[in-house]
Amino acid sequence: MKVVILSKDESEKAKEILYGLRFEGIPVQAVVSEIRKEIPLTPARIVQKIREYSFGQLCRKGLGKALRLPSRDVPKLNKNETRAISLSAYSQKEGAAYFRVPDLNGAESIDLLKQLAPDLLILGGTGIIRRGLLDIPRIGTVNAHMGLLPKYRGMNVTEWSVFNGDPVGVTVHFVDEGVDTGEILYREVIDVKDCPSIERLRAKVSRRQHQILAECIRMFIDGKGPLPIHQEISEGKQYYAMHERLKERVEEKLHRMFVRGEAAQRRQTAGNFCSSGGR
Amino acid sequence: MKTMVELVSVRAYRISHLKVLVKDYLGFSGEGGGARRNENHLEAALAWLCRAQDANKDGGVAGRYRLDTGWTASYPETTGYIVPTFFDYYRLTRNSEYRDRALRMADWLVSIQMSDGAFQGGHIDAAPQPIVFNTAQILKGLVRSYQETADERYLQAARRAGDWLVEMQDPDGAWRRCTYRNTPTVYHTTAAWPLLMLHEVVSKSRYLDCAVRHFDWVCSHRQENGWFSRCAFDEQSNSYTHTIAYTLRGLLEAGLLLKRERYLDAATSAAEVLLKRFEIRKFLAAQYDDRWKAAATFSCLTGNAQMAVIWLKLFEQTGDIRYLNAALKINDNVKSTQDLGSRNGGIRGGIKGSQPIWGKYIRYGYPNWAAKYFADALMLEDRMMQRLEERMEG
Repeated sequence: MKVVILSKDESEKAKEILYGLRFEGIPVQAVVSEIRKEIPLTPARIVQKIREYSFGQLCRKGLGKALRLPSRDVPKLNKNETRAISLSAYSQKEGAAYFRVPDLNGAESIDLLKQLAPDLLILGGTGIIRRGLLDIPRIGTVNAHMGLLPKYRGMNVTEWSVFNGDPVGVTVHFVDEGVDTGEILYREVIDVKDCPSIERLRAKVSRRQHQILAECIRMFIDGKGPLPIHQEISEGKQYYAMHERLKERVEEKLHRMFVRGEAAQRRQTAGNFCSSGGR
Repeated sequence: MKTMVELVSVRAYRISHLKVLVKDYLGFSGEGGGARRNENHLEAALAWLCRAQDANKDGGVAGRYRLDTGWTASYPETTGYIVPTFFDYYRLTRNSEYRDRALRMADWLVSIQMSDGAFQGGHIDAAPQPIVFNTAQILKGLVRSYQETADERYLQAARRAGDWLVEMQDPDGAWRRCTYRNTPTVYHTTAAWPLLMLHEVVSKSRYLDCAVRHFDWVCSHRQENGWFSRCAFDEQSNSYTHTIAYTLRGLLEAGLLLKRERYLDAATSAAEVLLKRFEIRKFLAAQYDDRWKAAATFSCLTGNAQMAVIWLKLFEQTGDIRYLNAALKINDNVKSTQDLGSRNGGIRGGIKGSQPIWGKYIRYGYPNWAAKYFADALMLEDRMMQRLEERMEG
């Protein structure tokens, strides 16, 4: 089974997928990555960057680039340290060829993928993929989504699920030309009670989505690929990036749920202790 | 050379003007940064509107602050719909100054009503010509003033204006006579809506029938993709978000008041398209074509604030949190363009026509209706956020 990952430069998701696949013992033929488009450095962008980073950090970054100082990135293959290594280095370490293309949907990328002739394409943090690319793989293109389809399509769906009081989960699905509208391969609900913050919640959901994705691909390799289920678009909505003020509400809600969960657990432990005759 | 002439004409040699131009040139405003709490922005917008009212001694609100010539004469149409904003702010703050100012505006409007019940278009210093759209916007202020005071003078004036609007309507429901360039447009939904307000007060079916005829005429101009033909100022141009929002707001209010799904559906589907455009691009273009493709590289800040109001109302109606989410973002966007520190009273707290200020819509100007819709949007945002808190706590 030839598996190719599509990505954008330095996508963390692609690295996580590579890690998950290695864990399942699935070899990856190649990683095809879109080159990040350089955004011109306008004065407004400089101000924005100063707001984001400290002035000193920016100077160090700028000086490093100007003096061509070697990157501090050290190839480490610890799961928690994928951030410290570039995608190309990580791909090569995992035995996957690494290609860079200017546009994933462009002619160069399509020619390359036709030559690679993959059975499965995996999306590792890309934008919209067009029909020309989707037609190439023999089985299809799959994606791991941080929400339960068909109800939650689009962005920040983990947060939106918590906000609306719905179950949080992940979905592995085939990719079509819409946004998260392809056939569903697998879904799983994730318990959020042990996540006191969005950061922790996203980390948990993200981790699980990559595990499930790898498990699904393992099934394809073993010839037991999950049966795709058609999505009813009308059963869900497309969500967009959540505004900070609403995120604050999600943080509060998660914290409350966490505290309540802990209290319940304490009560249960105390109950068990009493019923077992403890003092 | 042309740029130099333009810079001189907008008095770029004045520090306050130069600061605006430089900020917009460097892209320092309109990027979402620097926004403060809503109450600061709201207070500044209302203070700007007060200065606009004080710019002329008649009680009306100056149409805009222009970088080239300063404050303009009072503008009856928008003074009409600023009246409800001042009453709303009075209710929020309990500061009677705003109520008094609203009534001064209403008194001025009553004093300039034409003998046939119409109101003139344009600024007050223009040659008086009765205009349907403008009359209807003033009707909003008159009805609200009556509701707030029970003063019959306002109701009398409102009825006369309403009767004239009914008379001007063509049998198919469109307004052609006494309109801008004598062209029927769908954004007159926002002229039909005040007739529903008047009907609510006086229960006269002629006002209701006239409004419904117009809404039905507008629905017949709805295309499959949710777009409305005849939505621009003229047939050759693309529609500004300002006129699109007028159209949607009228339909939305009619749908809510009359409980008619057809109107609600027409407003909702178009509002949803614009929401998607805004969320994906993080920017609402000033103009769109009939395929909903952006047709401008600048923003129409009035249109942005109007869309915020529409999305907030849709959130209120449907509970769909995506509308509130988009409204919060677009309000932040407009907030970031509002200068809170300028020493120039025409700039401080005002909202530009376009972002950047040299965009085609109200070029180099701060229209009073931009500040009005911005204030409405912030007040509504606060109300909706409060409701959300209650819902979440409940």
